[in-house]
Amino acid sequence: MSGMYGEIALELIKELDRHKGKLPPFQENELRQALDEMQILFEQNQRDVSMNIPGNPEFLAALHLRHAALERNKQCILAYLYTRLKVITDLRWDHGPVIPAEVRANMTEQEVQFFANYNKTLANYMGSLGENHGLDLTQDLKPPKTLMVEIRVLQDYGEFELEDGTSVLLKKDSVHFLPMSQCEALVQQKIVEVVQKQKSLHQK
Amino acid sequence: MAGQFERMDTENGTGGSASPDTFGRSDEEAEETVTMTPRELLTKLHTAWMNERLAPDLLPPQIEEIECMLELLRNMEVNTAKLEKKDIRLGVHKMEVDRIRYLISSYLRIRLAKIQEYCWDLQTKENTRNSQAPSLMSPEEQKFLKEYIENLESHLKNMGTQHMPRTMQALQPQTMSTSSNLDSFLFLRVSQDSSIIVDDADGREEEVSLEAGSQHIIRYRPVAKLVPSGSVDLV
Amino acid sequence: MSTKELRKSFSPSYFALEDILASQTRVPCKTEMNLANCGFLDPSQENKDLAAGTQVELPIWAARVMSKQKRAFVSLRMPKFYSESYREVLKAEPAVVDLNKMGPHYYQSALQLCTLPSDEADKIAESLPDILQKRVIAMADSYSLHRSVKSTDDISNQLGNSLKFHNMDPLEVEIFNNSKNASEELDDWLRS
Repeated sequence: MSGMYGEIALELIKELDRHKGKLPPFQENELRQALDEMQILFEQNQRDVSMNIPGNPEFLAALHLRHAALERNKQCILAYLYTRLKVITDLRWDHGPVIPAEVRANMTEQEVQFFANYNKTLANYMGSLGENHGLDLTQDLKPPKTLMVEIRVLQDYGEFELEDGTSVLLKKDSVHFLPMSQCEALVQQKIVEVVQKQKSLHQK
Repeated sequence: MAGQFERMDTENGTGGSASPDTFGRSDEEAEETVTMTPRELLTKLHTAWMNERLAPDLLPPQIEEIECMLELLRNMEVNTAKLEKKDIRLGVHKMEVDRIRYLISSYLRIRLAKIQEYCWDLQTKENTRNSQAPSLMSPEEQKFLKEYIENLESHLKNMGTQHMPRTMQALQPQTMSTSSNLDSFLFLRVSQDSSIIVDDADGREEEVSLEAGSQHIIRYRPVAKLVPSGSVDLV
Repeated sequence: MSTKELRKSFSPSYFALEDILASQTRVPCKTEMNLANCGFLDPSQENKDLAAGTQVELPIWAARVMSKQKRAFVSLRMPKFYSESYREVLKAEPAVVDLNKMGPHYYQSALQLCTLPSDEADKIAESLPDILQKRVIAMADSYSLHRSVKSTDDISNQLGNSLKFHNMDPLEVEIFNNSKNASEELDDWLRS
């Protein structure tokens, strides 16, 4: 079926599907080729229509086919862009407000801008909760079962102040026993890792 | 949950409450003051959370209840901070605070996820809603939706449709709109006698009554209306 | 994380990658009239036009448009793997069949094929729930017998006649992974 329309646009979709939820590099070339194909199809249809050909049913088929191909290309292109944005949105929830460098490398400037805008929209919403006292919805991702947790420090962090005012020195490879809720941000940013889950003080 | 949830309230009193045992919202703008105990509020929110998790579409928001609970939570956090580090109650109080915060956060997160996923569908519903009917979203959620769609559409236009042939450039919400699958099957427990309309085998509509206390596995669509009022619970 | 918390439901979506991929499945078509300027659809010949009565394969999205006109440009039949004889095989021994070979998106394509004008459409639609159900049961039976199995490679080695992992359609893989994760999370929670 060589020469069938929409093949290049489909490659965009296939590539995303292969990467299953991760962000591959942006395929600018393929995108541009798919857009070019749309332009060619459009112009061919315009020529056919202006030549008053549609009167004859034999010529209608090509018109319909090209139109279907135009819609197909549009759908593939939009699905490609949209799905990448979804992955980028999920990033905010999985990795916090700073994009990891290896993902950033695969993003276009416009996608980086999208992320920044999303960040702002989310921050505005979260800040409005509780009569503008705010609530960080990106924390408390799991129901609390444990009170304290043992963590190992993955990179030198320095002094970390706990909510009760005491501070602990997070030196690489040191192990500490800290309140679960206060470690979440550190775990998310890969500064520490959980060694072992402790049993809660009150078991059901 | 341990009884000190209520004890904390009576020890310290909370903003706007008329008596130590109840939690009231005496907001001047509210048409009526709904009072309920903290325990009742928590149960209501727990049910709302369960329903929101299980229902395919976005349910009516529990705006007042969330705001009340957040205020209660803030007071609990203040009180917990006042306790001595070695106080045995500290751990338990912190646990409850964390639990409530998880409940509220999860509830609001699920709503945001639905708002994002079904954004165009919700926008259409919001635009075509008659002004007397309540919105499915809080004012802040509506603002989130509006900004989210603007961000999304502007990107799709700049990177996509603007470079397409003239007649192909429209971004059509009806085409892009995803709506949730209202025909998914769910477990249901009936708390009040109710009746629903279902299509029977011949395609005719039939009224089926649901008895209080009964449980069913049923498609979401016929019972969707009953969920917000509490006549049925999703489990 | 935010959108992953949503219960995944099986509804079609304009943006869904799987829907787009599934609608690429090729459908055998026959032209009902001479189609001007469509010669390129048949790679085996060099004509500008496509003569009436030519057999061509079109992806579902193109077959749909070409067959659903008042005066249809093509007539179509269902792809080989959805034909009566293959359906009989699936009905007889659902758990043994390698759906990947018949795919790569057997179920998703089937849903799309059902929207095409064809006598077979209803029959295909009817056969699907039964096939899926029997294969999922076979999947669950094997899994519960092999709870200690950690990786899906192990499973395909140990399953013998039961549903092999590499024979599973992407939809079945997803059902499998969701169930496995849910089951493991429950175990973790009970144990801790």
